[in-house]
Amino acid sequence: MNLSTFLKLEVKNFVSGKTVLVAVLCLLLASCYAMFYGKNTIDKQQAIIAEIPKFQAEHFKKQLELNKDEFGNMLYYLQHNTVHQPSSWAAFSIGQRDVNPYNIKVKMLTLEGQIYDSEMSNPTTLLYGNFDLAFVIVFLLPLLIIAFCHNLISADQENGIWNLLSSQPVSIAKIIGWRLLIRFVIVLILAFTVITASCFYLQSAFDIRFFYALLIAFSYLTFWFALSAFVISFQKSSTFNALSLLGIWIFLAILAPALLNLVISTTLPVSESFEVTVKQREGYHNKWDKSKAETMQKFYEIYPEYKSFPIPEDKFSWGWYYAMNFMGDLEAENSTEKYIEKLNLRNLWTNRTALFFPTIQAQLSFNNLSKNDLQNHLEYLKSVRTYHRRIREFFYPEIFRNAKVEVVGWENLPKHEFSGENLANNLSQSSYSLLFIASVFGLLFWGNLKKFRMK
Amino acid sequence: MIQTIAKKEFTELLRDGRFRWTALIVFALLLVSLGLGWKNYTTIKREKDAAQADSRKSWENQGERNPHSAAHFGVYAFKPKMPLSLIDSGLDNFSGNSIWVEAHYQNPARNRPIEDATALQRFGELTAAGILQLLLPLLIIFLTFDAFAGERTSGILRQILSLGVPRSQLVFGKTLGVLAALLLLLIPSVVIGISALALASGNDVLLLSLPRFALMCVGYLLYFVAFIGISLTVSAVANSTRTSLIILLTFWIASCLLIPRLTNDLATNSVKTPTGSEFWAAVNKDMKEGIDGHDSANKRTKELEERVLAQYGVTKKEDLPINFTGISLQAGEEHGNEIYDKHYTNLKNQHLSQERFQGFFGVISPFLPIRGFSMSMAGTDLRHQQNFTDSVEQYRRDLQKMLNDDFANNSTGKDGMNYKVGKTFWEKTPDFEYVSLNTSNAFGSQIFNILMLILWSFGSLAVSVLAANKMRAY
Repeated sequence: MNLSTFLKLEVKNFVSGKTVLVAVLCLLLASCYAMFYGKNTIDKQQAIIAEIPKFQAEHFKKQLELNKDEFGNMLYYLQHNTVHQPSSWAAFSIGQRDVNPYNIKVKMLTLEGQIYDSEMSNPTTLLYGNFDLAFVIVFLLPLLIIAFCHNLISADQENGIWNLLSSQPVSIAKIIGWRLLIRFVIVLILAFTVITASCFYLQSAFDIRFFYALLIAFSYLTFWFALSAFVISFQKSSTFNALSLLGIWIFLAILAPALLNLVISTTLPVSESFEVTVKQREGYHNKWDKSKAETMQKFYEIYPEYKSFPIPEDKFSWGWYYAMNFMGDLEAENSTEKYIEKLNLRNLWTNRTALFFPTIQAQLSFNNLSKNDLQNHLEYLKSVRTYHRRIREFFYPEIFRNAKVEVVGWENLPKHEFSGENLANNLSQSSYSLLFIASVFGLLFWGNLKKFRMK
Repeated sequence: MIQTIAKKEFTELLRDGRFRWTALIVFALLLVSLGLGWKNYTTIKREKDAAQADSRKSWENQGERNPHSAAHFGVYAFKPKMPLSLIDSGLDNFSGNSIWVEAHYQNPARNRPIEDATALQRFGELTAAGILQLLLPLLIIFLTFDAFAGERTSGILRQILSLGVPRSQLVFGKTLGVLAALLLLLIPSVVIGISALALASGNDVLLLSLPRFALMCVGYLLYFVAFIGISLTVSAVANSTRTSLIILLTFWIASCLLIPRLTNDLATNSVKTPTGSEFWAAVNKDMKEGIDGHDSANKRTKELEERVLAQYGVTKKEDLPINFTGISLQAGEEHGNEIYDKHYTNLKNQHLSQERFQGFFGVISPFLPIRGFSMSMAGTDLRHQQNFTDSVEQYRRDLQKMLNDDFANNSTGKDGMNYKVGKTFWEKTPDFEYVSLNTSNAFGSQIFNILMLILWSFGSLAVSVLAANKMRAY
């Protein structure tokens, strides 16, 4: 029997197996659902986002009518929408997008009191996580690989075909190598099909991200193949192989991430999140009882250009009111910085641990690709902070000059823009660690294969 | 006979290296998760207690202020950590932990730990409950997938049956044997769990938590029996040990991993909930136009003013022996309360029906009912969260009334906003103290889940007897 006949038979043999067909079909069904789910989730957000300009215009119109005569009072009510636009790859991996607010509305008041307003979602539905394509690739495809590989050698040993095979002129190592390759190619084709289909169905931009998605998925799947090959090369029973591979899967996909999460969150606790809310509140509120000159003094240190406008000590004035609000943010600044620093640290340590755990690495990379991770959320919050500053600085001159509503140049009002689409991507690095771990197992497998003895 | 079979199964398992190793791993994981749960519990409890005390301190030391100005300053209410959350943290990381209590607004709970977490949080959580719900079934499958299929291949089954052992007794014997082996692992864990609980909280809290803990144990026992029954059934039906294992693992993956995620989405779509913007727009509309849609805010204040003036027989607010602002503020609060009740009750019910909808899938996955039941007993489920927000709201209303009443009754129309109170008054105001939902109420909300667990455990045992009666002996 020459190699090509052998290969033909092997492929035919493998593809015609009922279990293989069922498994592949299940996986395709799961992928279809995942695409539908991702699209549905992002579409719902897009629909809400699409309504925002209309709401915003109506809100402005109403407030301008209601508070024609008192500009300062109007600013108290005026709400400015900010949006974290989903990237065109957002539906591929939902990440933290279902949790983090994507439409924060800010008034000219103390920002730290407004920025953490979260959506009123049902916590029960957040508990189990999303059934998106990243889930299919990170969690389910490895199971398919395990199903394909666990009896690659042992099935023949158990059926008694092994002796027959080993009497053929093709070497055992080659047979095993080719068998693995056939399964590997089939899984890669499957992953390629699913990712390409999702690119069309989800209307994700066909750019460098498509290749990154393929690169990460392929490196990740290569790891699982190398690992499976290594485990089966010990020539144990199918049951033993299946159970030990599943054990590894549970460890990598469930236990290790959960354990690391606990370790990271207990060693880097963010008690600052309570501190920020309390501090900004006190920072602002205590100013009611203090002399106005004292508050203004601190304000002038940052905005000296308003020194010349008189602030009456004995009665309420809007300039003082908004200066006081700004003081709330200023006094919470320290806690806010510490808080953000802690979150960045959590992010950093998560990224570091990901180097050793392919499951975590793949999931983080997909979240990063779709721009739905913590880091992006922090970027968004940063853009909201900047926007809030620009809004304040836009209105300060008018407030201090006691301007009339009509003279404000509304067309120059700063606009907020933030989209995951425009953020840079460089994910080739994350595939290095995946490929490195894969090659370690590949070498170990190769070592075992060299020593292969007939059983 | 059952005893003999159970004993045989039990000793066999103990001698089996794979039981020893896997049980050891699971036990170690249970220990680690209990230890980390305990550490986490004490840290968070300390943080929250400190924050609550801080908030109270700054409230008491806010100096001389008008009561309504103080109401705007506000206090914070923090959700206390439930003792049993060290076993099952449930929704703790996904729901708001603090509420700002202020005048006019019923604020939603904020500070959800999930917002401070990286993607790691979404892989699942390592709690004792997670181990019991996910890994114990796998251990059971691991121990029993060849219970019949293996004995059939080796020919032992034929011998046993030829002795005239009733097949149903064989099933019960095996069930008891496996259960006994599991208890060997679970009883030390329970002892350690109770000790952790006792260490983390005082004796009185421990006593209060014990009934919940006991109920939790019963729920898990039913869950394990369900998996033993399913495993024995498949093992009796499957024609090889490998087929038996594959079917059981597929069932495990489907019921513990896929169905929970799949039904999530279905549940979210089953009932539409408003977005934050929609919710507040509806609240603001009612506030402005009145709850019935035709009494505007201005009209309401005017009517109230006329009524109060007539009551005291004066013509101007300034001549009133009481302070009208206080009365008007309280009237505003009461009107607002009605509106909040309407909208928040709606939202709460929508969330509950989403949860109920997902609960129905307990028919196809025993994981869902045990998950819900365990969270509820631990005091970390949706109902307990809603009970917390309700208690805070009740506290807010009581506090607002106390402030407004003092404002209205202890100053006169002439004082206006110049009336001030000091520390002795702030100290008199109550502090927020959360009393958890009582056990019977929590249990009452779990009838469906309990029924499902009973159905799964007894049903699967019954089916396994049927399957054993029909199985081939060789």
